[in-house]
Amino acid sequence: MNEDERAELDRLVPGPARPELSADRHRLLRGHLMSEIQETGPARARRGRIGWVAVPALAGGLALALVLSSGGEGAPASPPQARQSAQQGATALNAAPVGAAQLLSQAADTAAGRPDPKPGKNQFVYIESIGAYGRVGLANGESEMNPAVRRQIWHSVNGSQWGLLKQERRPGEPSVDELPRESGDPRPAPRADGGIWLSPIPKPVINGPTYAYLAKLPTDPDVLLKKIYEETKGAGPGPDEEAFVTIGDLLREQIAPPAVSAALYRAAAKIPGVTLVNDSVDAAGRHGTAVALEREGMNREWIFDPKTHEFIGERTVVVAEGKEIGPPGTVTAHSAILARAIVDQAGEEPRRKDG
Amino acid sequence: MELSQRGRIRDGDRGAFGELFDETAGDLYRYAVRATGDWAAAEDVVQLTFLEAWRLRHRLREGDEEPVRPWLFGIAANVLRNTGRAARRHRAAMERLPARETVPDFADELVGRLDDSAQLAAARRALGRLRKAEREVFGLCVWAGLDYASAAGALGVPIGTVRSRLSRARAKLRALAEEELRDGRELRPAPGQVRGGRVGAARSIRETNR
Repeated sequence: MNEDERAELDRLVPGPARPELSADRHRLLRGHLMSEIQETGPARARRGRIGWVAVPALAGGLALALVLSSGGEGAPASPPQARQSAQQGATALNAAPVGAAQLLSQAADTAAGRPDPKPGKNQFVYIESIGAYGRVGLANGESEMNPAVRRQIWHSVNGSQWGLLKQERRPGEPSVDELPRESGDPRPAPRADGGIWLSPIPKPVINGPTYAYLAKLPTDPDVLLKKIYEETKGAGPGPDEEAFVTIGDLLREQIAPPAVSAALYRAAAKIPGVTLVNDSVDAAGRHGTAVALEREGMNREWIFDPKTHEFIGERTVVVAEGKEIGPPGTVTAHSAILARAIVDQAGEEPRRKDG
Repeated sequence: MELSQRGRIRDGDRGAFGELFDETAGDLYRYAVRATGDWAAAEDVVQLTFLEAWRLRHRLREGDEEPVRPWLFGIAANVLRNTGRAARRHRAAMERLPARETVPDFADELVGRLDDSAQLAAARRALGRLRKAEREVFGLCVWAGLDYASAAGALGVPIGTVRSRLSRARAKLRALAEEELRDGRELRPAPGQVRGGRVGAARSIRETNR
């Protein structure tokens, strides 16, 4: 939003003539604040989704929605019976739509059939992806996608080592330099390639997991889903959305043992409101079938390869008429997973598989 | 070399909170006045925002150098959304907040300015047209000056949602402005307003705020 647009909007709602906090009140309030807050030593940084979006991320547009538990308008989730996908051509059914459940079941079978990567505790999970989210011009009312940027992330398998994130910067995007360093800074040396060190994860949680943590998750979908609901209670716009998004985060940039991956898909099939989308397309232009959860006229879609049923990417798309962001079909965010691997070092890229 | 402001705040450095207060209290206050239409309530909002920021400091994301401001305004938006809850949480601290009577001129001076009151009444009318979520986005983007991404981060919603809410807000406000122009309402004092009466003006503001 530029200053002219802001000024126009400002004029539309008149305000008092620049009310100022008087110097007296400022001093008084400041003194009160300082007497109320006490030194307690460094607070324990909460890992998790917050960590995921610590830098402008591929998933930024998607993940930003979930950073603050207070987000959204607090609208309760529609009862499953009342929920319908507006996606044209979608097989929109009720609570357990056969199509979505079937696709997730196939995805689970695919995941279960993959070889167990059995990473060593000192190795790293590597995910490479591209993605972008929408940008909007208030002046012309048009929304458009940013060009997709490449993102590579390395997670310590057991959380004991520093992770790494490398992400291309969009033109004009502010730098995401690391914090300044002081003597005794525990971080590894700065990287010439612009990569950013991610803190070790001594206490993984569902929103900030490690491979080792995921490996210990229950493989019974019902037990797993119950755990996800419990651990994300109160977060996000609603329990179903939060569960869907939590699982989505794990699918996007993690690797889990086959049995756990399969359980995640089977758990997702039990979330009320999940629907099937026959045709979706990821940030790399690959078409696939998708499952989606709708909120406020927008579908958040997980896209699967139509043949192998492997998770290939995500898309957020307008599905309801009358959304000012655009007509149905307007894409507001998308991503595509390009590679997943286990590597020995943060920063090490796996050898390319040809074909 | 020292840690960034963000890092120091996350680490519970009181000095950093003091600096943050000095940098942002004025802006937060202006934002809160406009959002509440009530100068006294705005002070409470400022104070509750900082108390909440202290409580929630560990939730500041680490590993970046983003400004702290959007995070703080996000907290302010939450406080505005449910002031009662925040006030209950910090009841003891708020009871220790020195009474406003110690500087009796302050509220009077501002509330007594009828121009301001008329403006506020017009603002309440305009804001009354907006849904709560649209008001929040309007407040953060227009009054607090956050960009879309920061507002999205502050509210915990996607950027697209910020944009669409702001777009809806703009459409509704433009329609209202046209109506008022057509009706000539801006030439008349707002309903319930007592011209020249300080107390009356103050009360009418508070009432419209409820």
